[in-house]
Formats: sequence, C-alpha cells, structure tokens
Amino acid sequence: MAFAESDPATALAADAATAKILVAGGFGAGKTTLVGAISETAPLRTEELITEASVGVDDLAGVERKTTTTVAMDFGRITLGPALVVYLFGAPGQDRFWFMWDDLSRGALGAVVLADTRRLESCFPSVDFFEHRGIPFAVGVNCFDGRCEEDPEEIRAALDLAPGIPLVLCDARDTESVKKVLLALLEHVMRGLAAEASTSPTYG
Amino acid sequence: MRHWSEEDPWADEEPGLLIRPYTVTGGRTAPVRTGIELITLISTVRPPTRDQRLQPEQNQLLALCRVPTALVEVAARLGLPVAVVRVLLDDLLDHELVSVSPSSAAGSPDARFIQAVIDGIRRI
Repeated sequence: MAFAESDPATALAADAATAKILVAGGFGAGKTTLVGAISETAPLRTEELITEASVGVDDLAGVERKTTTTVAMDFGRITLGPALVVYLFGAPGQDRFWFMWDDLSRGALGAVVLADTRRLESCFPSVDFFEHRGIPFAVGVNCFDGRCEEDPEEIRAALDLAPGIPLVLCDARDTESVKKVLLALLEHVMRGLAAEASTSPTYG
Repeated sequence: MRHWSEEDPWADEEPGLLIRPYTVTGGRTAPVRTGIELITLISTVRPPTRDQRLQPEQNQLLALCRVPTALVEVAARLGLPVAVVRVLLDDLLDHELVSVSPSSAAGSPDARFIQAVIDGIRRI
C-alpha cells in the first residue's frame, strides 16, 4: 500500500533514508533555478548565522577574531518513495564561504557544478573545491534559452576537467534536463564505487 | 586514579556516533546531541501533555513535523537558524515528543543506495 501513494511527500516514513546532493557554481549561474526545476516544493531558504574566523579579511597579527556572517542556502526536496528522500542544496560558491561547504559536503552523494558560459571562470573555485576534497561531481553547462552554441570539449578544456568527469549541456529551468545532469552525476558516483571496489582490498 | 579508558565504558568502539541518552540539562544554550544533520528527518511522536510547557516555536515544530520533515526544512519554514532549531529539538527529544531518522552520514553510501536514487530520479 505504501508504494502506491499519490502524494509521496505525505507518505514519507519517519525512518526514511535521506540523501544530499550539492549544487555549486558562481553567482547567477542558475543554482536556485536548477533546484526549483526538480524540487517538489518551491526552493526553500535558510539564512544561517555563521561565526567564522576572519582569516585573511583583516589580519591583525596575534589577534584571533571572529566575525558573524549570514549565509543564505537554498534547497529543494525530491521524495523518491516512502523510504527515500533527496535534498538538493544550492549555496554560494565564493571563496569566503568554503568553510560552509565543508560542513555541507559531509555525507553528500556528490555535487553538480553549474557553469555559465558567459562567466565560465566563476565556477573554477567550485571545481577546485570538489576536486581537492575528492567529492564526486558533474558539470552542468547552463545554456540559457536552450541554445547551446558552445563546444563541450572547449568548455572541458577551459575547466581542465579530468577525463572521467561528466559534462552535460543543460537548461536549469527544465526538469528533464536537470534529471539528465543528476543522473550523469549519480552514474559517475556509481563508476567511482565500482572502481574502488575493484582496487581496494576486501575487509572482513 | 585509574586511567580514563578504564572508567569510561563508551570510550572505545564507536565514538561520535552516539546520540546521548536523555540528559538533564538546565538553561541549555547549545544542543547536546550529535549525529543530527541538516537532512535528518524529524517526526512528531505525540502531542505535549499539559504540564510540558513548550515555547511557541516548539509547538510550531510539533505541528510541522506530523509529516516527517528534515531539520533544514524545519528551520526554513519556521524562519529560524538551524542552530536554534537544534536547541529546540533537544528539549523535544528529551520529552520524547519527536523522533529523528537514522544518521545518513555514517560511512559512505553503497551502490545499492545510489542505484535506488538513480531509479527514483528516472521515474520522476
């Protein structure tokens, strides 16, 4: 009975498994739009008060200072059944917010880096972040108005992506298009797990 | 004086994974529990009794979580920072008015779990 619900959100079990996928990218790349295109709710927002050590902001030698910052985080929900729900988090990709991404990325399945071809360089920090932390990611190239005149190989070269990392042209407003990006990411995660299983020793 | 490891029966095996048993704390300013993440689902177990004096926000949380709702979503819908909701949640867990879903961050996800997500997204 529980598998034939018409409104999955209300049928979610209290002990359902939860998963997290991150959406990163520069300002204005369409992160919230992408979340909204696939979320069953309008994107929600929390304003978090975060205390951060002011590293490199105003270096006063020997003085440990803390500043409080408000960071907005947009997220959406996809209930995939009574026992499984996925949350998509879009958060700012500026350098000064990386401390937040460390927290956010813990336990995440992976990340989508949304690239805007008009400002390709704005997604460089996101690519660097996930590469350095070994978090699987896929790049979604947001082609506004569905016109993708860019050559994916040129974008791949500009971002200096490793060969296995998926790069998908997409329209962040379109549900089917966003599904493709998420599936490209998850299949990439699967390949990573398979590769890990074949190279690492078996325990127990 | 004995070594600390001989005094603490919980010191080995699984540090960090435990949700503390019901703890008596007064005037708390920080949540006691660990293992509750942004995407941990909170579910209302039962309504409060008359003598359980709750804050208005806690009553709102109980009303919202009659449908299992993630911590981050509770924060967004109540218009409160996540850190504040964590503290409110501690009281409600002490009173056994809510339950939380099992931690998802423990260990990396396995292939079966990822496949379930893939299948689910394909069906959207």
